[in-house]
Amino acid sequence: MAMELSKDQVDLKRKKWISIMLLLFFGLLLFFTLFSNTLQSVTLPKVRTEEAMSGGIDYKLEASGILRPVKQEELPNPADWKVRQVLVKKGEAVKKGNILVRYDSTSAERDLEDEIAQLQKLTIEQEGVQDQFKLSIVEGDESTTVKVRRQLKLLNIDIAVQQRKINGLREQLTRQRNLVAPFDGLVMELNAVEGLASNGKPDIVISNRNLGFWLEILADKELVDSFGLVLKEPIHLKTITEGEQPARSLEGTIDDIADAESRITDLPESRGGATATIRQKQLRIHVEDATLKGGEQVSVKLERTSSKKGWLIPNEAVHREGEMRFIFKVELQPGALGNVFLARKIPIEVRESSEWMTMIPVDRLYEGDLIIMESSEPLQDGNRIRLQ
Amino acid sequence: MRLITTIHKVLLTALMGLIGVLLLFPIVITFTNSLMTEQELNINYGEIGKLTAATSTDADTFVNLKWLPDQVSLSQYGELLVHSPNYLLLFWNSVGYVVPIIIGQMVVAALAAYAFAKLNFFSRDSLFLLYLLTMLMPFQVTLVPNYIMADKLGLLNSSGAVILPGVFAAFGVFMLRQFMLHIPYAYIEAAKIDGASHFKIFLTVILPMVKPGLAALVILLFVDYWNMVEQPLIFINDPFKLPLSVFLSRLSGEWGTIFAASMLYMSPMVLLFLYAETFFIEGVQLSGIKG
Repeated sequence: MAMELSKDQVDLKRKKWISIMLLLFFGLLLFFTLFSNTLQSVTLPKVRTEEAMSGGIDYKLEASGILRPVKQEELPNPADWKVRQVLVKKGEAVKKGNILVRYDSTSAERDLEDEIAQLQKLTIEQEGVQDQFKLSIVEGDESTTVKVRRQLKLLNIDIAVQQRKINGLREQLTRQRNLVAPFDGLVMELNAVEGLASNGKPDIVISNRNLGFWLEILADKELVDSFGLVLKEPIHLKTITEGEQPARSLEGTIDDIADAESRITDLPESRGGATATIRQKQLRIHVEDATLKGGEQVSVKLERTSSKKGWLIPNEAVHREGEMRFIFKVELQPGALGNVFLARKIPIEVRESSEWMTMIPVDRLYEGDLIIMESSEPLQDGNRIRLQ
Repeated sequence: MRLITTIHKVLLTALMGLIGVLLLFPIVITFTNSLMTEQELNINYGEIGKLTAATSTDADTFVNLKWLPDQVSLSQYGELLVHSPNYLLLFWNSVGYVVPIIIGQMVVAALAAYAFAKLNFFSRDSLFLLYLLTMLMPFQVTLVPNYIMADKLGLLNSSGAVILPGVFAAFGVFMLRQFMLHIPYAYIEAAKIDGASHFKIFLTVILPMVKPGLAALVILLFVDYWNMVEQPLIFINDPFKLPLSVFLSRLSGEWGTIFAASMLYMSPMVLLFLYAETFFIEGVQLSGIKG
């Protein structure tokens, strides 16, 4: 009886253990069924997404630079005289013939006066010789007459020479006393200082206003090509606001398109710091405007939407694997325990691209598809993800 | 004479041992493989394994059954429990099918068996025989009428299509009737004299006496319906409503997870058997039925 009892007890104990195990087993499974999604989502890579947009790609060419005159002339101090008066300021517009700088011509004037005095002396001397000539004729002294006539002729020559010298000096004086604008233009540089002679630099640098200004900008060759820019094509420009001056729009034409030095840039889609060489072009835009002075900051902004339509993907979402390019989109997998988000790899062909956007064919995505922009961990096709 | 008995005993033990090993083999393989890493399993069963086998030998594709893992890892269980909630969901689907079937069939079978064993009514035995025929017929024979019926009742693709035929299956009735036949009629008569109704007799006299039979029935039904594949496969279209048995039978997906899921799937059955082992053996012995 006692043995049977203990056997029953052992059996009871065993059953108790097994029922505890059964309960534990089902409890554990229930726990994981209900919370595995939550547990898992904590460890999932977090991603930032954006909805794909459809449309044409916007090309934008934005550049700015300083307007420089097409032609400018250096005006040196003509006779190395001291500057008496500067009549213009830097940046001032001048007309052809305007006096820019007056020079101190005292010594030249003194020279001129000396020469005039010299002429007067010669004239007086000539009068004396003429009197001698008249007297010799009256006296009938032939030899004296010949001698005096020769002397008179010599004097006449001297007077003519002196006269020319004076004329020359006068002319020089009027020419060199003032620095005159050779054409309509702008004073670009002013080195003349009142009271001082030239310091080796041209006293004034003046730009030719009639020939207009140039703006030189650098842009990516691909971008320039996508706009189909040609020579003589009109371009809109805008001055950059400085202080209270309002921005003005200007008209220019393309004067020259030339290859420029390539630039090296980091690839946006690579994290390893790979670089790419991007070919560039230099555009020279010619602007003619009466109100311009030169040295203004102007900006060029060209915009164009491509005629082809497709999905627009920001470049940061485009990944590269060798020659292949791909993006990750979010795929929703409905499940009884909650929806699951997966990263789906989509190989793409680039139809067109700009600095920010890449356009891919329409059949690659559906309306409302979410594109993965960045992820906390490197993704692979089919990885579960957590949306931010 | 004694020597012959000893030799006989040894041979019998060896034979039984061999059969035992053969029977346990799949379970042991499942268990050890569930402790392998996904990489190891891929080398053993995946394409890589096939390739290396093809290059090393004359392209004979023997399966490389590996007994012991190179490195014991619980990663498959982790993968199953944390990263594959769908398996767990299917597990609960299985529970959702099996529990109503067992409870339903116990109620129906106990009552029907009592009627067939202890009540006297017109054409009782022929009716029982007719009922029994449904059990004797293979599943495939009753499949089409069952399907049509489920369709007419609008039960297709719902758990009812699997549960209802299970509840009214004849096996439980047959087994419990056999069990009840052994109960002497005197008990019932005694209860009747005490003024007990049939239902009271059933509840207080008969049911406690067929406890081992009920326990055996629970285990047999559990084994039967926990492992069912055909019924849900035919009646249920929605993959989210399928039991785990169907999913495991497809053997698609990650090998490691399937091994781990198989282990988990086996556990309730083993635990239940261990729990009701004594009842089960007693019940089977008494009713003279083997599952």
